[in-house]
Amino acid sequence: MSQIRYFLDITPFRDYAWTGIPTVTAEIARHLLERMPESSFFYYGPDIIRPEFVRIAIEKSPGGYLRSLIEAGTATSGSLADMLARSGLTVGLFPNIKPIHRMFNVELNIIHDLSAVLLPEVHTPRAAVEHSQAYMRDIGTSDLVCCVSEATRQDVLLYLKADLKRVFVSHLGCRIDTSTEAMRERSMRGTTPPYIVVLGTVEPRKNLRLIADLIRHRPRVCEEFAFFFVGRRGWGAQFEEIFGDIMRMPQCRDRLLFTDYVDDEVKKRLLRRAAFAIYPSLFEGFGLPVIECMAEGCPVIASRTSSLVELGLDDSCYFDPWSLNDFARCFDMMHSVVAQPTQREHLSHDVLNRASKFTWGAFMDRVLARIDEVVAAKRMIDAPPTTRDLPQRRRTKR
Amino acid sequence: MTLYYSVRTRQALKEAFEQVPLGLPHYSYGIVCSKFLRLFADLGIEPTELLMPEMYPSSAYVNRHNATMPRPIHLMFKSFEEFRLLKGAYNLAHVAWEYRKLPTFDRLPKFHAKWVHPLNDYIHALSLPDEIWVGCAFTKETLIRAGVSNVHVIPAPIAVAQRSYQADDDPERPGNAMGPLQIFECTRSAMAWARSQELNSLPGESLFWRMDDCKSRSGKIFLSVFNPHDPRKNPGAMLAGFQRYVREGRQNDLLVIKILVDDNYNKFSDVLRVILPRRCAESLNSFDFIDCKNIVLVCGLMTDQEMGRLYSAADFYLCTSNAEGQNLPLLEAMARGALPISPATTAMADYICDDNAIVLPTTEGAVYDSVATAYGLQETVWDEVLTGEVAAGLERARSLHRDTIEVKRGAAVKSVRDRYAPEIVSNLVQQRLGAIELSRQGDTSKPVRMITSAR
Repeated sequence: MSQIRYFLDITPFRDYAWTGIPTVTAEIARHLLERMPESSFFYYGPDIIRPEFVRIAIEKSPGGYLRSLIEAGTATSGSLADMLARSGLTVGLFPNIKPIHRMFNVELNIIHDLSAVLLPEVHTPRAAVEHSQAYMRDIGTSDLVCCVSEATRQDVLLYLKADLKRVFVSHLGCRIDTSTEAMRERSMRGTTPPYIVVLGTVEPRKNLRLIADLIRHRPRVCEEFAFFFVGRRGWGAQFEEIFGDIMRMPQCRDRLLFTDYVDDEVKKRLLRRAAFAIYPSLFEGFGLPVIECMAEGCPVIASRTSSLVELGLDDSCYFDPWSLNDFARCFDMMHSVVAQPTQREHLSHDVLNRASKFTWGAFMDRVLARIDEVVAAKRMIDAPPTTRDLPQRRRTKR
Repeated sequence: MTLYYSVRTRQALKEAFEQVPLGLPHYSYGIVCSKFLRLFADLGIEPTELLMPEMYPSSAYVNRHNATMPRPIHLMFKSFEEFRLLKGAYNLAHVAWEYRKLPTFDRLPKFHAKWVHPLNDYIHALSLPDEIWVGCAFTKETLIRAGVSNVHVIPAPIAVAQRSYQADDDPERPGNAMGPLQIFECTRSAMAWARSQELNSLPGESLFWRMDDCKSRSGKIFLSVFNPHDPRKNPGAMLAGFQRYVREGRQNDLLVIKILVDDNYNKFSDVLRVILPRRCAESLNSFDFIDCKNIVLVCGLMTDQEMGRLYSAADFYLCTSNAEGQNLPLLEAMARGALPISPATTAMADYICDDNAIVLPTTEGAVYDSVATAYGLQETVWDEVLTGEVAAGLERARSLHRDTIEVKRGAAVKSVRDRYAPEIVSNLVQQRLGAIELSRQGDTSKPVRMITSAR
């Protein structure tokens, strides 16, 4: 039986600042490099990319510079077409929109969310149309559709009319740093001047206006907490527009900080010492920022929407993102918990424990298991029937 | 029973979640919704609005994860492409559809502009809700023919005003009580002037003055209300037909056209310069020959009360629409005693007949290119009202004896009362909600809970 070759589309690495989807792509690449280096290939457009360059890029994440090396030809090692011409069964892994179709024997497409279809108004018109069109097209050309949450799976089945048998859920994962340094930093939570972290790209879906509304109603929260908004600039109203009037209030001046994009290490360090985190998003496909907070033991309050409820926070940590009152209730609850050192430590351990159930290994195991099933079925179909098989089938029918 | 509803259009959501403004596409869903909300209030039901039902993983999460809550009902007042389900709820959609076919990807060319959203395949979209409510039998039959099941005719309720068809001394008739509304004559010089302007609003006489003037010269007032952007409304036949009618000797009569323009999302001057000529050209080939000072256009937002007074002031209501899903302005005018001059096709087939109206004959023809292109409805036909029939219908209406007019007006009011009065629609709604409740009793297969396990 010939060996299966896995081809990972690393187009998401074109971004210089790696956030959600490039992070997922990096984790898949890491898994392939660690577990099956001989049968894994990476491609970007028509080019096969040298694995050592992929390895360095993901280890020194964000490896946005990889794009430059690919475009310069330094990181490439031949063409995808030549590689596909060799014999053997091929599996195409698409961590995002598929740039090519029906090139591999088995194609797996990961769908992160259907926000472009369901909430086009929170995207730029062009992005909404491009993504919506792509989902409709990709669903039809994929043997397997991996949804990163049950909420996304339900949306895919409902709105895209996808075949139930081809769609499955594999929750994304997180990395829990168990190094002494990380543990030491986590233990310092509450010893630094208290601040709250708000993770995520600044875009309308993230609903930062809810936090602005809370501060407007209660400017004194800024006397107690600083607010760090950690995430890159996106589209729609940006930080300065959302919080402009608040930054001019005497109690709030210098208490709200927008960091723009920060790399993984800085983000983790901020989370390890934060009093807690807020995630008021209206709609998510999985909620990677929430699990990142949890993986650093950072208590988090989040919207009771879409996939976020699947992350398993305590119910009291969820709030209605349309309701300022409910958000204030949740904020006050968390405020009182983190004010108590024992409760704070207990909660920190609790979220860390809950995060440990989401691992990249488990994510990949589910993905590869489904691929194995499809590959086995394909081999069964493609294999010429033996002379022994055919009569047996006929006998069974009788 | 827990009832949720959603109505805001995607555009309205984008506009910082403001109220649905008139003039936006599908604003009529907002009007239908408001009528149902009043009806629910009378029934003692207080539905809760969901801005984005799609964001909830299941209906339980709408109510703070209260898993003991019975499965709620979610009623959508939205166009097909804007359907968003509340997972775990019994989803109902109140829709309007006026054509004989439904756009589906099976019939669309591969590169049609509709291939940008999965719900632009209307048959797929209609398969999502558990149940569909429509405003007329025509829509129900069309949907059923297309394979959509569980469709029920539950029209929007129309309140019937008391003494609405009384004679000229009706205290509700406009006079000093009605504020000045800007009007604009459909004359060639006025149109030419409008084309040269970039103004958001245009000068003109006040409506009440013009209507009083018409009455003082023993003229009759014909009224029509429509969205000038909508090609179905067939304004070409209306304008050309009325112009012919006036030139054939009825110079004292007045056609008041209330166009739904809010001067915010669409400008009156744009409607005059671009939209109306384009819409008229679809049936007339040209708009330039329209030159009639007896036709006045009225713009500006009017309250329900003001609209009621306008309907009461009208002797006749003129409808030249080629296709309707219910036609609320026509029904509201009938409820106020205006005698309809209308085709009896699509939704109007439910309530327009010779006893209560002057029925305009129609001719089968291909839908206009704008409709065919927008929806991918090539090779679809409709029943079109032609200019000559409009002129003849107006003359027939004007020639009726006063007593005959009063009889027909009474019959028109009765038709609305018998089919669309709030108490009638209320019964229909209660019957359906009761049937839904009954069908769910003992149904344990659809509990309100969230499935969080990976599959």
